Amino acid sequence: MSTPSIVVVDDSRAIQSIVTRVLKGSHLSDASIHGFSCGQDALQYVSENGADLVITDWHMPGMSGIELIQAVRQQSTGRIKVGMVTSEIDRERLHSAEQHGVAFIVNKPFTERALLDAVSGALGTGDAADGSSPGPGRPADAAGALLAGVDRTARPDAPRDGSSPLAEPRQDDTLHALQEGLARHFGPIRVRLVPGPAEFDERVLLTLLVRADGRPVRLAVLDLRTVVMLAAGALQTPPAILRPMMGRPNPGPEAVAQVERFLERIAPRIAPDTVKVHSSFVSSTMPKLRGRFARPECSRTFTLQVAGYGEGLLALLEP
Amino acid sequence: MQRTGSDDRAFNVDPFLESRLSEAWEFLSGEAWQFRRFDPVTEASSVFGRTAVLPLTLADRSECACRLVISAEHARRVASHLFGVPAPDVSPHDLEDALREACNVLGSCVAAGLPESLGPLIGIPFIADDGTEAPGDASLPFRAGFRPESHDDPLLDVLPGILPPRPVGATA
Repeated sequence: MSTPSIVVVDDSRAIQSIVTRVLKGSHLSDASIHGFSCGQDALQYVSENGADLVITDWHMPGMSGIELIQAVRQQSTGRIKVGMVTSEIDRERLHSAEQHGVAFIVNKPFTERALLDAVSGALGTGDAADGSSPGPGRPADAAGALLAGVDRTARPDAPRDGSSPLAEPRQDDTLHALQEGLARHFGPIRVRLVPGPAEFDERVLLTLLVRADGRPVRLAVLDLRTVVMLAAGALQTPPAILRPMMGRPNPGPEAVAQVERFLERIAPRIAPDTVKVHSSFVSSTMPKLRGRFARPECSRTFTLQVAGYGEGLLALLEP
Repeated sequence: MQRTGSDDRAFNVDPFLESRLSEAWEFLSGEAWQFRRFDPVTEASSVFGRTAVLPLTLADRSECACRLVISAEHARRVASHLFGVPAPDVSPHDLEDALREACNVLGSCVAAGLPESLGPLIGIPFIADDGTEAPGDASLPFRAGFRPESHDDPLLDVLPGILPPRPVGATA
């Protein structure tokens, strides 16, 4: 896609302005971006001119965002991707949007990175965070983009009829297991999972999910920030207490135990043969890990974003 | 529906709501201010300025609202940040747009922090500079406010009771 055409619909021109600035300041600077304050005007424009992506708010006078999405997808028979930037928080409504085939939902307030990851995932234009193209074997991940904004409301039971652009990623049970497990783990704390770079710091926690014969069936790699956030989430630690812990070289045995409990809970979904987990701190530069990360078909790397806590990296590797 | 009792003007909000509001404020203004909760019934506030309201409808169909009160100076700074233009260049129309959006984002954070049993649905924010305030409703005992740690501008509070009529000519 050389010059994507993006339609931004929000009754707030302030949000139109922010979305446009973020996109124009990214690898999508050449994109043709058209802003509209109401759904009807946007629909007329799309009918006459087409578009690659429509990004819409939910709550707008007149035609709502979900009505616009329905109309656009009907008109374009699903060819035009749609996404939402919204403050909507109702679980059922958000699920309804998923069922209507939205490629992503980004909640306000959003970070530049969350928006760019979501848009890039929908357009298939690669890793927006640094403006680079996706590497071999790392296509834009529509499911990851969706999760960028769905927070704890995301659910995996959307249609699997193949008509939705999300149909293929939704068969990825690993992603769903992670997202659901994180939502359960963090409880009321908003948590997001987006595709992330395999750029770990030197020291990481490597947790092996091991089957009865002693062989690992899955490897989880977590940076120290993720370890601390998982531990804090389990204990509902206030952010003010957690933040000083984020830079510590050793999060401590209790934090590791919380990570292992989290992985044990999702193990039936991501590695059914697991009978125990075993963790140790290792160097991210160790050849075995580097070899896995060099083979994208063996690794899935995510950025974990936790409201009030911060961000960390998490990867699941094939042994 | 689980309520906190008729004498309790607070309600069981998400313990991380204050940090979420701080993040939301940074999104809106670019300023890293820590928000804290206060009791608007017992703690006086002296904010005067612009007012925007985000209607909330609860699961039992009762209505309440999140109200944002912000000084003209801070409202202009928010608009400047959101539109990416110098503060003196912010038009009155853009100012009201930014004010509604600020109320929308901050109010939605509050709504998301309410107990799920309340099932709040958010509406479309509007400007309510005429000072309309929801009348008290004994069936909705909760009331809470949030403001920056160091001062009380802006001020966000949850108003119990029936939503005031939408002002004539107000736009969403």
